[in-house]
Amino acid sequence: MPNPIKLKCRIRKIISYGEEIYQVFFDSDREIKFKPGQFLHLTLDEYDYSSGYWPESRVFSTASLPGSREIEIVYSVKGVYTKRMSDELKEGREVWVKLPYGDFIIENYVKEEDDVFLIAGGTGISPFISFLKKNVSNLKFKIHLYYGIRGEKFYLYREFLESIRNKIDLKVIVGMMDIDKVVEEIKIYDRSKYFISGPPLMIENFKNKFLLNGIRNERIIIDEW
Amino acid sequence: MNDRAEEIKKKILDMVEEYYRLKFGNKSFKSGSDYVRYAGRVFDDKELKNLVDSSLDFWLTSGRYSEEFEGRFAEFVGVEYAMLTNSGSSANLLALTSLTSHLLGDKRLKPGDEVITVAAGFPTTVNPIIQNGLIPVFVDVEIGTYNINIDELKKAINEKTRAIMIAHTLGNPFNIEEVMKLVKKYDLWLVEDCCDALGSRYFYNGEYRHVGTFGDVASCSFYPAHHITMGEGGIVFTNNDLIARAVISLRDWGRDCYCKGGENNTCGKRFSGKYGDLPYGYDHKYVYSHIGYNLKVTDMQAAIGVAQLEKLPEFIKRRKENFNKWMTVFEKWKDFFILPKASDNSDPSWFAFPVSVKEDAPFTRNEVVNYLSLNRVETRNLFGGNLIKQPAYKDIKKRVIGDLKNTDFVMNNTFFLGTYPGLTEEMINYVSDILKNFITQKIK
Repeated sequence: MPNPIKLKCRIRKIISYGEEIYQVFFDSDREIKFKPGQFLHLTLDEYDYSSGYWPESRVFSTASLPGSREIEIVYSVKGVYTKRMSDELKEGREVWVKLPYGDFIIENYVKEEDDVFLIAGGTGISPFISFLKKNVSNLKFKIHLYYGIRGEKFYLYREFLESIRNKIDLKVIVGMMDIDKVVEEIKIYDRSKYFISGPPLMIENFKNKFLLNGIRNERIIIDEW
Repeated sequence: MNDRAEEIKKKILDMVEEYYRLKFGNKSFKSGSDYVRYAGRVFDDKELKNLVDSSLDFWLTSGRYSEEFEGRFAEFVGVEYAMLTNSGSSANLLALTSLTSHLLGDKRLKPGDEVITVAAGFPTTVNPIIQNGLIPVFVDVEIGTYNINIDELKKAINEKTRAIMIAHTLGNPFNIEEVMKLVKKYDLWLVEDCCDALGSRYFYNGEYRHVGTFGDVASCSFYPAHHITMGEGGIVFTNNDLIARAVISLRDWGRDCYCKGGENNTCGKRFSGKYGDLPYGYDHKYVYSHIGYNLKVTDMQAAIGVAQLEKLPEFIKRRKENFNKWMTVFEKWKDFFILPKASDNSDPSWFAFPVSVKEDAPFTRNEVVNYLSLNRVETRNLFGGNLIKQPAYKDIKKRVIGDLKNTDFVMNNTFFLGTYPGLTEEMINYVSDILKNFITQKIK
């Protein structure tokens, strides 16, 4: 259930994409309830549940399938804490997480007749992966995914996304995304919702451009940090 | 915690177990001198140990036990969100007030909107309607189920109607099938007051579901008289993300931040948001998006609740058994009493055994309950009787549908006996004998 819980998980696998970008898989002894788009807190420190104080932690969107015993995140090293993560997280280690949190719940915003535009930059793909994993076998709306990556080797979830290419409108853009071009392609849709997840500057630029092109604010939903 | 502290804690908890056995264990019922209560807390050493364990944490406010209780409760009833609060009445206040939240956009309740309810019930099912500047519309009930009369409910709906807020009376589910038809037809909010109905289920769309999972938001109480207890306590539960968010905010001072005690920056943007006319980056911990309260529970209450929740399935079973035993007792006197009736398609987890003295019986309700009281048998009236005849409600702004004839009948003729798990066959047999004496005297 999406009532937040704290639990200890074991790291099963870490995949390094190079240049300090990692995909981390955790195993739990219970089913993890959340909604696609929600995030978790991960702490590198020990949590004493009887003390009540949650240690310093960082937030990451969950990329796994809701209801499974697996949690999956991706992160890139951007500061002191994520550097600690890259140094300290090892396969087999146990860490405390708490989840789920957040309002970036895609299914709450969309109706069956909507065109759903998912715009992701880099590790911002995570919440959309969870959403697609849950919905791809029974899609009730037309999905358009624009995924901007720095280079081919940073194509996260390549295997999964390529396997569903025939079910969604997938555009993987290598290098800087041309916002004007994307806007030109998508603004023709009448009944659309636009979800943006990625670096803050990318989100801001897309949002501003959408607004300038007459897309109403309530149709733009951002995974804001 | 260091080893010595762990060792001491274990000793304390072992002693608590022994204390329970000496203080509360193995009590036998002495008919005539012991009271037959209508309700009471049923517990063992587990509740005491959890309470002491929590007190040794000295965390005091909501903490690990609260989190555990909320998760387990949500799983038990089958909802996504369960949020503890300090009473069932607070749960009702939070449930209805959440429907006035700006988070719900144009569909939110606004002052002057009408909310349909009943007058034959508990005041705090109705009070949140008044407290939010909404207009209660009182509808009559049925005798036997003591739930809302569907024909009267249909008459009550007009263009101002925006919500229905009613209880599953004494654990007996109201006619969910018909209520849901109206909720869907008129696009109304439905608040289910389940304070007396934890564990009650209703067969709907091909399956039994717990009450509280049909409407938009529901409440439950953990006062000692209820199905499980934590002393004072209640819970709001829902599947609606926005309602859950509003409930947490309203419960926790109205703040926008949803960090629990001991947490910071749960939203991940504590110092990077822009709210209202506050400067950019104003600490989210002190951003208020609702006019709220502080209605949180302590972790010691939740600790008791965790142990009680383990016992809930057995408690429900015992309540059903006791209800059936009372039914056998009262079947003998059905010329004088109207017996309770479970609603169609329902599987009630009875809070109590309600009966009404028939108009032509050779005694009144007050006479029989006085006689029982003199013989140390507790009864209760069906709460406020007819609430609109209570002093507090005389001058409230309201609308009343029809003459509330059955509600007045309940006020004058209905009472209930307990079904709580502490009630034994011996006690019920004792009450049966007392009743027989009373009725024999009256029909001489």
